[in-house]
Amino acid sequence: MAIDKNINILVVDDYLTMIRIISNLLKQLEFVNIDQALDGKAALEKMSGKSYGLIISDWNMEPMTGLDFLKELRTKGNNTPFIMVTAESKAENIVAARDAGVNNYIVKPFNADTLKTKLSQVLGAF
Amino acid sequence: MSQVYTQDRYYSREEVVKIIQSALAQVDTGTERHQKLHADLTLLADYIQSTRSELVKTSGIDASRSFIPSTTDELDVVISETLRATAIIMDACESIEKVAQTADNPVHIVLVKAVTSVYEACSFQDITGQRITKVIKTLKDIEKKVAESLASLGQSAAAPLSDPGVPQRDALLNGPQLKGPAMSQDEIDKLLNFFN
Repeated sequence: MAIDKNINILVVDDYLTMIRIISNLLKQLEFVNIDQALDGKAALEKMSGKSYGLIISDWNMEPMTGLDFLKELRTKGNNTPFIMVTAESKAENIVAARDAGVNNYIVKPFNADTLKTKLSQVLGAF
Repeated sequence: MSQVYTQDRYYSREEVVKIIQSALAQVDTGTERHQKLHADLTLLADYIQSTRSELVKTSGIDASRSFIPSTTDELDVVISETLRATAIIMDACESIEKVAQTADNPVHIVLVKAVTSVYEACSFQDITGQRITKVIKTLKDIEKKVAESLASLGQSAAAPLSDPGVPQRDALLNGPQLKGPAMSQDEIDKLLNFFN
């Protein structure tokens, strides 16, 4: 399956710098529809009015963490592909995210190649 | 007030001292066993008094009043300045990237590759921010404990000048990963593949 670069992507992180880094790397990969949110709660509000083909989210955010955001989505039956980008790299964190329904996991700091690899694993080949 | 908790109730420092003094008064120093008990109780009373003195001296160091607040303020500045500097770097990179779009190969490729490397490196700001925020929280916790210890000894100047409050990025205090218990990207991939 070839990757659809017109999908809506939501980048969620409470550090604007990280949002800019991820968004710019996505643009380099020719994705064009990129939105942003500063925490899980804001992301849910964004999603209430728009459908997304991919969510790339940080874990540690206030007031709603990436994990709680993911759980909320899955509880509502929303199966949008979800990549967690986080510094949380302990085994119990990976298991918790996996149990909550994460599709893939990127540990910070990461590089452009890692992001591309994970996108292809979740969305299809470039 | 300083308190000692037993299974039944809390005892104030003054009550503990009274109990020890009472016990000392009742101990017959005539036998070797009682002499040992007397010596132990005296040692305990001295220990309580010296601990109190040490804590009072701490107020002389003024850790909670100036040192810790100024240190945390300086670290806050480090975070805000690196944030500002990173934003400037990102602005510059985005400008270069726009120019790169108009350039022909191989210049285009070289510029995009260079800008990508800078983007990747800029994530340092997120990581250092998390680390420094963790240190700030630890310092504020120490500040609060020192103030509480002094307050328990009746030191009116014990209260910290700055309210530790809720750290701005309290939720970020778990990362990024340290060497040791943390896992690498390869290990995480293996774990996820195992589940799949």
